Amino acid sequence: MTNHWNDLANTDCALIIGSNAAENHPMSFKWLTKAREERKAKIICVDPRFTRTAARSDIHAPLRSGTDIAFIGGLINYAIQKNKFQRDYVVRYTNAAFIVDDGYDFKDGYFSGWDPQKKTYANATWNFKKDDQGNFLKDETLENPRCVFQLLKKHYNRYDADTVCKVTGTPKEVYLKVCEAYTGTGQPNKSGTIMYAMGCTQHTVGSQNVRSYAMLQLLLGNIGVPGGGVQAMRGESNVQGSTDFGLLFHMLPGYISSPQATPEYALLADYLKKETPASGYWVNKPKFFTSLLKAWWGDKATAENDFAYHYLPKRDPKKNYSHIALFEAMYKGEIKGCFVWGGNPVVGGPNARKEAAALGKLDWLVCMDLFETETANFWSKEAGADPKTINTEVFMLPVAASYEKAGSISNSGRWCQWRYKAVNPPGEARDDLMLLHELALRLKRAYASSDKPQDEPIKHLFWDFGNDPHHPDIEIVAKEISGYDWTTKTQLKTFGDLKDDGSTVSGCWVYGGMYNGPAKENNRARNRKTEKEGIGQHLDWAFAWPVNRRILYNRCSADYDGKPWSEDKKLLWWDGSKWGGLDVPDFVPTKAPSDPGGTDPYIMQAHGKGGLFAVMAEGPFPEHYEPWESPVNQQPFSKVLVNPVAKVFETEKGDNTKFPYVGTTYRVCEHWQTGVLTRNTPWLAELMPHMFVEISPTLAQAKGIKNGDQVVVSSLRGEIKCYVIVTGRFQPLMIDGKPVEQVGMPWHYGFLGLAKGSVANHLTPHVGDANTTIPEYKAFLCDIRRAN
Amino acid sequence: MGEVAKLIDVTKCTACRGCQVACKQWHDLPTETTPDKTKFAGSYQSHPDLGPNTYTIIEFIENTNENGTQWHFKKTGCMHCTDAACILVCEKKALSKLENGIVYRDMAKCVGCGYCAQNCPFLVPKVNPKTEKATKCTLCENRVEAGLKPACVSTCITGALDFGPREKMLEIAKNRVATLQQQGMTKAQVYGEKELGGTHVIYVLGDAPEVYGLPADPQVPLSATLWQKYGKPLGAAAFCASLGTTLFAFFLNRKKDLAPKLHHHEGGKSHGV
Amino acid sequence: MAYSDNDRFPRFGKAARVVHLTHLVSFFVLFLTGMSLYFNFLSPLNLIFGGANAAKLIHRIAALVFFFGPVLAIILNPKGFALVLYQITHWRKEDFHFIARFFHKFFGQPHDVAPQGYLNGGQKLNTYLLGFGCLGLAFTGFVIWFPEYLPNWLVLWCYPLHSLLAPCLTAVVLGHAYLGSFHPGSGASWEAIWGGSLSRAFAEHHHAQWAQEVDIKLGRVKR
Repeated sequence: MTNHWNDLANTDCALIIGSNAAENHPMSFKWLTKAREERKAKIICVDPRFTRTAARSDIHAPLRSGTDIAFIGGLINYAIQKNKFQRDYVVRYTNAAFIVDDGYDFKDGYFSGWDPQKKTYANATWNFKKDDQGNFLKDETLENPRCVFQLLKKHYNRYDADTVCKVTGTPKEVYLKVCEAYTGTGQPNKSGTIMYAMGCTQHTVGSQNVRSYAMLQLLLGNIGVPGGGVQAMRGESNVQGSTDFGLLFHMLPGYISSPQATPEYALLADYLKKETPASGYWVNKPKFFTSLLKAWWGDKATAENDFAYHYLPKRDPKKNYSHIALFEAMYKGEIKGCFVWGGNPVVGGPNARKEAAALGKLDWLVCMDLFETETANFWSKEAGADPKTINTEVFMLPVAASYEKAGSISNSGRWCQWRYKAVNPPGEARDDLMLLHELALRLKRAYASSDKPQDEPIKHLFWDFGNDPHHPDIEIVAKEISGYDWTTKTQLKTFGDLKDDGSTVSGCWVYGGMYNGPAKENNRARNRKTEKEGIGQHLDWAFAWPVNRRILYNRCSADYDGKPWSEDKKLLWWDGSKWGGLDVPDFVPTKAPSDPGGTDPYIMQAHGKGGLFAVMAEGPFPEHYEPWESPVNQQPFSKVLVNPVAKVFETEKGDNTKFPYVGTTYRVCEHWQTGVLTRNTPWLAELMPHMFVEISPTLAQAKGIKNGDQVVVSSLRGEIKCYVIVTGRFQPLMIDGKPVEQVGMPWHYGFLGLAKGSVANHLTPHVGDANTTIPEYKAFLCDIRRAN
Repeated sequence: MGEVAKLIDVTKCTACRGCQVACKQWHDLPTETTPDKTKFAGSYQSHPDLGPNTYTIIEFIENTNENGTQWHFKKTGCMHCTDAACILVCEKKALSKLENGIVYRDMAKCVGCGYCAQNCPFLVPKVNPKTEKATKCTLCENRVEAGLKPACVSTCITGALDFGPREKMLEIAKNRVATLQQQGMTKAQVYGEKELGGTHVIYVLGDAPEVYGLPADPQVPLSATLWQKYGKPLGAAAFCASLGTTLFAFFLNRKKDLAPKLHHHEGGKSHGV
Repeated sequence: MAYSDNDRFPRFGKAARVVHLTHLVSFFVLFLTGMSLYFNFLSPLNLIFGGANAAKLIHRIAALVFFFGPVLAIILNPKGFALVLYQITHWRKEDFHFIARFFHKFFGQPHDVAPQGYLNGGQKLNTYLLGFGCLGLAFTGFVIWFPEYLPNWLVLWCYPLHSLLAPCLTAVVLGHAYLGSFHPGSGASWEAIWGGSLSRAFAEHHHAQWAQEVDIKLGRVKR
């Protein structure tokens, strides 16, 4: 989230797209309800189905799953055509005025640089022109036909309401209502927020979906202001934290790219040269990176040995290490062992049957969870496997629940909040840190006597987390994350104090300053003071990275001169000598608006501006492409049907004459993820006891299906049996004049636990987003029939 | 505290059902059945009705028509009426009215006759066939006594549930209805202000009560009133009159020699007693 | 056959007598177990049965006996039932004559008696009161026993009906019981329900017409 949960109360209009916030992020509706009551805010729900979110929204705009870019592209077009965008914001705070490289073009569905043989893009032309001094060329009148704004206008000119609705299936009058309501937030005294979750990201164009939201927000001047922003609502309570700490395969903690096994990354100096930009806040990357290496290898990381840079594993740039790719490799027998830590791919993974089969190729598998998972039982008869043919040795380690251990979690709003242990875990369950700690210590013991250089990364691993052989001291862990001076061992105040000479340590620079002194009270994640009056920033409650900033890019909340755009939306202002207000400034607090870079709010960007034009795998502007499995054979925006750079692992795709319906998966409020926790909790199992699929009355009639029947849903990957809910909340959408039916189902169920049911992911494909390889769970082709 | 009330604003409910679980947790109630014994409902609603182990449910009321789809979520449970039919018909005085308006149930006195279950205008109490006790929402009278809010209210995320002095809840409800009407929900209304002498669970409804399955004009059943106010005294009077008369006759006749004797005469009327 | 002062007048078959007895017992049990729901202060009565829930169970078992006993009697002795049916549907002026003097009889006051048949006017009336009373109690009782399967309005009205019928029927039964046991004039009728027959004196006095019919039928000629 650029903003945070409580800040939703400050919005004038919430556009919920790719999310069923009321069901899956119920707390968001505490603040949205407040906004609605106190500010008369409008809530818009864009969703293929009528959800509990839709029930509490002012407008429900249905769209066909996988057509977000068309939907948002139309909004961008509407904002530009009807002059609803916030011009002043766009001119100075975004790269709208920048002049784009002459080679850039977009034609017939492809951006410039497309290589039809290799099926990749060379993106050199997706760049800006600079003058001789290296300054970006701009036209602040936005009239230059080669400026970003004009190219943007031209690109989305094609996304008129009629064409958009032909693709999305949204009734045009509803779509125009959404356009009118949401672009109304383009006024300086209004703000709108876009809330998204997995309904947005789990597509072959997932990253570009998010991009399109961000671009719309930039145009409407909605980023960096209270009640604005783009809100990534995380699927688990600590996904934000795990992402910050290097969850993604190409990232080290703190969003630092991991080095690759190429000559460009041979030495630390090479890495730093390659990864450090010339301008923007990332110029400090060497400080963050060096402090991270120091945290990992301590005294063994010295200036002489490149701070042990050579200990870091280097990834093969040709390889993909994402979830799907790992299971593909496992399926091919390339992986020997696997730790599944709080995961359940046999239920939650795409093409889950294949993933279960892949596990059977392992020598050993360790599963760690609160209850026995389907993954730990992938070999059983219930899983549809033949135990005799599987040789994988499976270990199941019971772990503690969140109330049974202390530590921090970071919520979607980047608030790192300390939690205290309430009860001991039952039986042999141990908390995760303990398992990790013992594993590390035992590995270190195992390699202690080795002389081999390749064992040094483990042998020399700096692991000094107290004297308890079983449990690390989590205060020490937190202190290391925050950062300290290596020599004096004093905690640093912010990440601004980090150095690139090996004198400082930080486990994750974005959390710098979270623990800014020696005492427990200095652990700001423990802060628990609520705001008495104000706009709900609660600066003394928990710690928000970076530097306790609650709203990112908050320079944008004030105009060029440093005055808030409006009294109602004031956040920060320049008082003549410094910035002050209701948040921690997102830049040097003494930098005057008139100083160089004084109107560059997006400090992480080399050019300091919001990226209306930015480099992504598919191109600089999001373009509508159909889901990999689509009910249509052509689309009006171009001849290119599917994202040309999507990560496709499947060899065969479903035919829309055999599988004519759009299938999608989702979660319900009552269950969580693969249901391991909730399907084993009697009170929750009671609320949603059965796996079901939802279809429209028209589809039910066509198929002779009645509400409550048992049905079989099939895709090219397999079929599942479950109950059916026939409901008016599902309606066929008119796609280019033809009705297209949608079939939706929760993916929580598996074959163990109190509430059991078929695994929806037996239907989903091994196909991923071009930038992140997030699986396309949300749009695939399927068929449905009565079970008997 | 004077009279208290729980406010249920159905227009704010997102049907997360935290209240359902919080209720079970506070009262330590088991599930009604296990999933494998549950018939698929064909809806998101967890229980078709309240149950002996389920004091509150969210009813999912779905309606698709030419105006699109409406999906209403209505929290259902005891209304804690002032004119409580359940108290009227409870022969064991297991149900009683607390000063703060809560309809208190004394499980020790309950014999599970089910009179309350049938006579409640909202059909709320349920008899547990195992324990033979009628159960219903207690409005967490023990929490309220300790200065806490009912479990369901304390867990409600969106503010659809509130609890406090009845007058204050009514005021909030009326203000909310005014807001809703301004926003175009012309049929928005408060439910429970006057109904059954004023209930201690008050609804803010976005539409007519019938839309939410609530009776527009709930009444203590006429049969219950006739029964308790007239039927029982009348029956008791008839019994007592008969008993008295019989006893009177018994003592009157006790010493009399009225035994039939053989009369050796032909035909005609026999005389005697 | 010769007439004798010691002649007996066969009145009730075995089935009827057994059923009457069980009916009597079940009625009493129903009365005792029902009372505590009627008057809360009588709750200690339940202790006899082992608590309120046991009392409820016993009330229901007794209700089954109470209802199915007579049904069984009708099946076992359809002729007897036919006789009763015939009797109660054929009223004579003597019956009304009897009823008009009921209270004289009840309170032991002198009065004249018109010759009565197998059932006298009072018994005919009693049969109606008890018959319909029992049927009503049984019906309303079963309705409130199984409320979940029946429309709520029906259940609701059965509560007051059951609750009103029970004491009213008890009132009638009290009179009936007194007349049939301790009443010095008619108390000897218990012999009929206990042993099956009546004495000549009783029969001729209370059921003169019927006694005559029996004598003729049995050929008991007075010499």
